[in-house]
Amino acid sequence: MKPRPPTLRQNRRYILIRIAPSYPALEGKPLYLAVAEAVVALFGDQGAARIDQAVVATMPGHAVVRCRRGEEERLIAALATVTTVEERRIALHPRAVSGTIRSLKDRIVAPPEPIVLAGDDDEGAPRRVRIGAIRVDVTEHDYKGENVLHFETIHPEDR
Amino acid sequence: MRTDARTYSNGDTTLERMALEAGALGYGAIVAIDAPAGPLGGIRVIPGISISAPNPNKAMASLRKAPAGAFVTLQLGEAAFNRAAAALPGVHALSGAHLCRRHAFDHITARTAAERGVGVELLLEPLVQGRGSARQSTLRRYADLLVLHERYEFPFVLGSGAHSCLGLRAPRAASALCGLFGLDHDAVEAAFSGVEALMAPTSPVRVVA
Repeated sequence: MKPRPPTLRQNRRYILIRIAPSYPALEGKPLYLAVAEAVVALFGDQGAARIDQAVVATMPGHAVVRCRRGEEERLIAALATVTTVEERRIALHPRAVSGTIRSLKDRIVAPPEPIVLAGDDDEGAPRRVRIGAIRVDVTEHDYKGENVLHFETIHPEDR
Repeated sequence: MRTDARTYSNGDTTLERMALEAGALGYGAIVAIDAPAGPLGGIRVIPGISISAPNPNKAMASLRKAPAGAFVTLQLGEAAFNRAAAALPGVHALSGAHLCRRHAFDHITARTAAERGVGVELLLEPLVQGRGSARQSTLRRYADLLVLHERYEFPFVLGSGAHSCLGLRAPRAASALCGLFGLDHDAVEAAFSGVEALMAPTSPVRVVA
């Protein structure tokens, strides 16, 4: 198949989003499904077709989402309404918009490696993970499922 | 300085962590309901008081108990209550417009709020968490408020209504969400600085000598 000449191709914009929390890393497909559901819920099928969104890359703590040029604001609005991916609570924060994926990748700041402080060995104990210098997330499991609590450094040994 | 006009510290996130995350998103201050004041996580934490009352007398009684230096919001209700609420001294902003009945926030309330320098709070949480008819209703109410805002020019303040640091939204995302009901980027930036303006109102010129 002969490729379409550049002047006849659809112009696209790419949005770099920060995923919070940055761990565990998200797969592209569940994120795509969550974004598509949010876009359809907010703008309907016609709006989704016009935005033409897609997740083009995922990496720890970040993802690159694509849309048609001129629809960036609508896609950012839809991204703001994404609150869960595969029953895991998340938030998607837009960081930059560009016409190329490369320029966005240059702007990615790798998130700090999470350090498991407790919980992986002890059966039933809450999992305590430190992210960076002062953020500590505690994951508890109860009959309702997973519950993540967000703290700053809570004990000198966590530092 | 951008201020998130409503966060809660009683959810799954400590106040300091909330401040850290808000600072990372580009906010200079947050209003935290029922929290102490002070700098935390590199930003300013403004204590917030949210008052819900069945009638203006009870609202007035609660307003008298509000501590100094707190950002006080009063929950809107029926039309008659709202007209009185906009004129109560000590109220910084009226909240819960999305929960009001249609036309409960009318042009008289809007004019009173503008004259008294009382803001109207726009919460992002019902736009983010709501789905279907609930979100449609919120968008309709906010679009209706915008019509009155353009006529009477009462100030807006913007709040995430976040109980968790995952409920905070970046200013750019907030701007895109506000674009859904027609609030432009400049108005969003003005709304972000609304808390500061409402807490330090400009007084009329006074002759001192």
